[in-house]
Amino acid sequence: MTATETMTAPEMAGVAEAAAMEDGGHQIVSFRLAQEEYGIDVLSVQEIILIGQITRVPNVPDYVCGLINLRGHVIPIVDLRMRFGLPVSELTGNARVIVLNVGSKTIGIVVDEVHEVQRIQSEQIEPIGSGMTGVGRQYVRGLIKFEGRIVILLDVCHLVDLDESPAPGASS
Amino acid sequence: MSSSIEITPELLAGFLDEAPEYLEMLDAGLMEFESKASAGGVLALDTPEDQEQMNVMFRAAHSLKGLAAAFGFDKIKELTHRMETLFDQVRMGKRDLTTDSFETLFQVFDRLKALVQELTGESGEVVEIDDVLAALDAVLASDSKSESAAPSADDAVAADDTSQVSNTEPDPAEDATPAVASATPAATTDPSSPRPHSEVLDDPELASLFVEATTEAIDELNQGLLGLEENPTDVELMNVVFRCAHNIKGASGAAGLTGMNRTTHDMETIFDLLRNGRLDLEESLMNAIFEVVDRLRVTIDAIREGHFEDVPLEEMQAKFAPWSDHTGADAALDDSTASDSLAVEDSNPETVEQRSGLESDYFQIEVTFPDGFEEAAIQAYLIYNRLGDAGEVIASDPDLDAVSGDTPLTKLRFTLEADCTAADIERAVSSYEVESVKVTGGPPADDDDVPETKVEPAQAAPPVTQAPGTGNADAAAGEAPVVTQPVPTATKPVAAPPKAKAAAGKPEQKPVKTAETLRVDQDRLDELMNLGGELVINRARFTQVHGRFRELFNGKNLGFLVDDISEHLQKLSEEVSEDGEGAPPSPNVADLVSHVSHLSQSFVAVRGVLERVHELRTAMFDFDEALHGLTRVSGAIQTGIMGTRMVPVGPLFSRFRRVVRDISKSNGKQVDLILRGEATELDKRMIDELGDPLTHMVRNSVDHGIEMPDVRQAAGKNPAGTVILEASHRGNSICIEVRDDGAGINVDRIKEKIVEKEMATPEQVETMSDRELMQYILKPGFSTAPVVTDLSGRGMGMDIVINKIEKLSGSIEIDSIAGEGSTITIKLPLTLAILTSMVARIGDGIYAIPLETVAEIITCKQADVQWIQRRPVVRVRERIVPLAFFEDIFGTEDAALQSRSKGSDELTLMIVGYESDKMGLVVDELLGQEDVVIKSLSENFRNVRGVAGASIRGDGAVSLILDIGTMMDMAQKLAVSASDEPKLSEPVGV
Repeated sequence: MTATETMTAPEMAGVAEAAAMEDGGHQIVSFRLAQEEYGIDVLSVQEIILIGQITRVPNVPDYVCGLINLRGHVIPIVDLRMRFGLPVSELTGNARVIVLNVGSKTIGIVVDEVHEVQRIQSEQIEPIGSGMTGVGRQYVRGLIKFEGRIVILLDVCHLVDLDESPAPGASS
Repeated sequence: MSSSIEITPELLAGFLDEAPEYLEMLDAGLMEFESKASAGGVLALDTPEDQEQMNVMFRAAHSLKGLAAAFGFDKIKELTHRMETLFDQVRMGKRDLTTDSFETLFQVFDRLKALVQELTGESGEVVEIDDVLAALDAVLASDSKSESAAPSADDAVAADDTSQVSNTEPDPAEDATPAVASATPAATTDPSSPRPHSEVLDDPELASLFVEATTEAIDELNQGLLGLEENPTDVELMNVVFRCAHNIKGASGAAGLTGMNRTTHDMETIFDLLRNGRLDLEESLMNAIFEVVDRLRVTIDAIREGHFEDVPLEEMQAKFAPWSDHTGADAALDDSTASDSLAVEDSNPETVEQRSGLESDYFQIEVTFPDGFEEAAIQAYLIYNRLGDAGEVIASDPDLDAVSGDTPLTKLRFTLEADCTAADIERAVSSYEVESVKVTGGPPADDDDVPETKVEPAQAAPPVTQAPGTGNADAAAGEAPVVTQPVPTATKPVAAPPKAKAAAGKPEQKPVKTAETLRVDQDRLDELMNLGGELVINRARFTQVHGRFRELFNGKNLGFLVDDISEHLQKLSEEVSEDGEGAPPSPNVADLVSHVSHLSQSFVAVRGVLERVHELRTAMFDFDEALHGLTRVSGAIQTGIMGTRMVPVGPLFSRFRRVVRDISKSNGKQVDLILRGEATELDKRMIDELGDPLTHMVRNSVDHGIEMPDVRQAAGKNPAGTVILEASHRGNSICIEVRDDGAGINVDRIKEKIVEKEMATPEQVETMSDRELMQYILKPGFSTAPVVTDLSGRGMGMDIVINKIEKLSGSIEIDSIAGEGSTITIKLPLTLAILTSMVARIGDGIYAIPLETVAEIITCKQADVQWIQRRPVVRVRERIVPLAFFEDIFGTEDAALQSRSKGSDELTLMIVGYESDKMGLVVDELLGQEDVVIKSLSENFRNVRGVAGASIRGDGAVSLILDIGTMMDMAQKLAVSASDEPKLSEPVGV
């Protein structure tokens, strides 16, 4: 299934559940950031939405694009490219926001393109060697070799550390 | 006690929700009594109010004990248990409370509070209670009043009495009434088992069914009694209360609550006697009944909270003692028949009366439960109740009163009088888990039918009470109390008169509604509040759209315009065709003619459309009306929801009696605390937040404001100082004032301090008014210093107070007259969820600024900007106001956040701030005033300094709510660093 269209949580959860039941494997949503391919466990994904109007917030790290209104809830949007120090280019029409549930919070991440939902086996996940990607190791759960591609599986728990680094000016 | 339950966070939250209420009751009572006692050295409960107050305290201690016991919080239980014992002795007149005892009681109270605090996990320490326990024991062991035995002995006696039960400790509160209960038959069951064994109560679901049903019955009973109080001869009401007592009796019997069962039985008997005219409903009896009903309620409430307790039978019987020659006899009789497998309801005559005038039929119902069905007892009771809804249950076999939770029960027979069909009954009964139901009976064939049948010979109807005592008796007698000969017709004439129940249960009297409350999770209310707010905002959006539609129809001269065009077209076409006459038309003219005619045709179509639009104006009126409706409803919803969150400040205020007492005790001052406007309501969440700052303020007033008595006397004041805590509504906000008649604030000291701290130059200080100067106390880093002794706090400075208040979107004002006292006023919005704000655009963003921080909006020329100490300022009405740009305050380079007006000739300034402390925030465009619903940023993100929250605008976009207080601090810091190196963009031309 390609996911150029938005997908609702129940659909995904359904897919994920079915997959988990069959073989105990993982189901990941893969997406593109700059020129790299990443994956996130589908169970953390609430939904995928188009990029709407983002309200900028002062006093927050650069990679926080701002806030959006998700059906009455105000959630932050994070640009993972900035977060990971990847080259940032203009977003195209393929860009989406993946809404994630991280702990008790709901956040959105901007990605250049959502690819698909893939089923993978646990043994397909390989630990990363040091210095393999530009991404800090703490955000990466492992690498998946997949049909000749390499997908970097992200660990959403550490993706956005919401309490980190007090905003500039807060401590001065 | 025996069962400590697994404590889930929800349960603990329940406990923490409830325990403070009891603590507050205790606190209030202690304070009141202490002041009373301090006058005479000992406490005398000489008014009914005092008695009642003591009862309240007793109940509070008791309930807290029960609660703690259910949770297994042993320390709290131990303390409250002793407290309860003590209060009980006091209210029974068996002990005097001396002022010393109060000291101990206060200590105990503090410890209780600490224990509850400990449970919240906020304080890390483990609270020990051994010392206060010992102190309390000492009080208990000390000589109490005259003839009464030492309390420990009392306990022991009670314990012996209650030996029948239980692993639990005796509950002296309930037992300690031996002397009075002379008339009670000794044979009655032990009243005091605090934890009767009961399958019903052990099962949470069954217990809750029981509690709900009984609560309802008690409510109804109460209502009925209130009605009877006004109209003592009302037979219908009498029937109602009788039935209620009866139902409770049945239910409590099934639940194994012997005390309640017997008590209601006695009550039932009394109602019966009343009904028969053998007793008069004198006031004292009424009071006694009310007391018993209250006790029933207390018991049920306790059970609801998971604390197994029973009604103290002896105490209850003592209440009925003056009338007990009847009840006693009856009880004895009841006892004698209790062992019988079947008992007719002990009070047949009333059923006779109740039935009088109603056309009802009698049914025999036989219910079979599956073998070994464990919940048979409670099911039996439920069936009984259900049948009670349909009609009057006259007898049951076995007697439900005698059925306790663990009696094996497979077969159950009821005799029912009702005006419904057998099928109805069957349906009602078989909805429970029964194996089979057999309904026989129907309308009696003949009125001469045997009045009393002997189907169940074992049960003789109570003898004496049989004689019907009222005029209705004749009619009633014919219909006979107990039935049974199964009458052939299984069904019953449908055209029965109005339902018996409706008639009996609906007394003519206006129903006295008991106040009912509902515990609701605060988060749910928050959510509702948010949604209500969204609704209001959406409504606002509608209004905007409506306005735009209106414009569409505003073209009044559209009609003229259309006519005009039409006329001109007409002329044009005529002229063109005239031109064409005579000579053969040139191709040009021919073209023209065809164009014109085409135009005319098109215009006809356009005209039709325009006319249609014009007609549709009426639809606009409908729109108007619908919008009005929506406005009304959404407004009402919003205020309604807001109302659910409002609680009076009274309980919060009463807390300070203790604070004042403690401080004045410790420093030897005499201080009276006067509370005013306790009924003023405030958002619950706000009340929760106000405790700390208010404590600090009150403490300041007493500690530093009020002088020592001799000083006061020397100044010609009353040696006792006064602190007034007052809440009041002012428009859309709430004011809370802390006022003292102490020494006031020393303004000169503030001046020194300001200069010393370099917050202003000596020259500036001199130009400031006293009021302005006093606001400096609220500045961070100012008040904690010991210089301003009048208002310096202990650890928590006024800046923290203001911090907290500003978080609540409130403001503080200080006013003081040297020698006469100070007043600190907190002004708060009515609710935290909705903010009235000024909305402005800065850069690409739209921001909401809390309206109460906005003093005014001005425009100024760039040329008006001056520079003082490297800060740009403007002069507003003779006052110097620093101005600041949004992006500078936040130190952001983000293009979207840069204000557009920087460098332009004219600036729009929003003058914001608190009191004398103002700042001019440069905005690009003013969008007007709006109510916004506050959404927390930390819900999904984290708090951002300078931003109070976010809100969602009508078009769905998120806008930020600015935290002006913090922004001003940030601007101030900016100014400090700017004094080294100018950072604020220096305007051109200055």
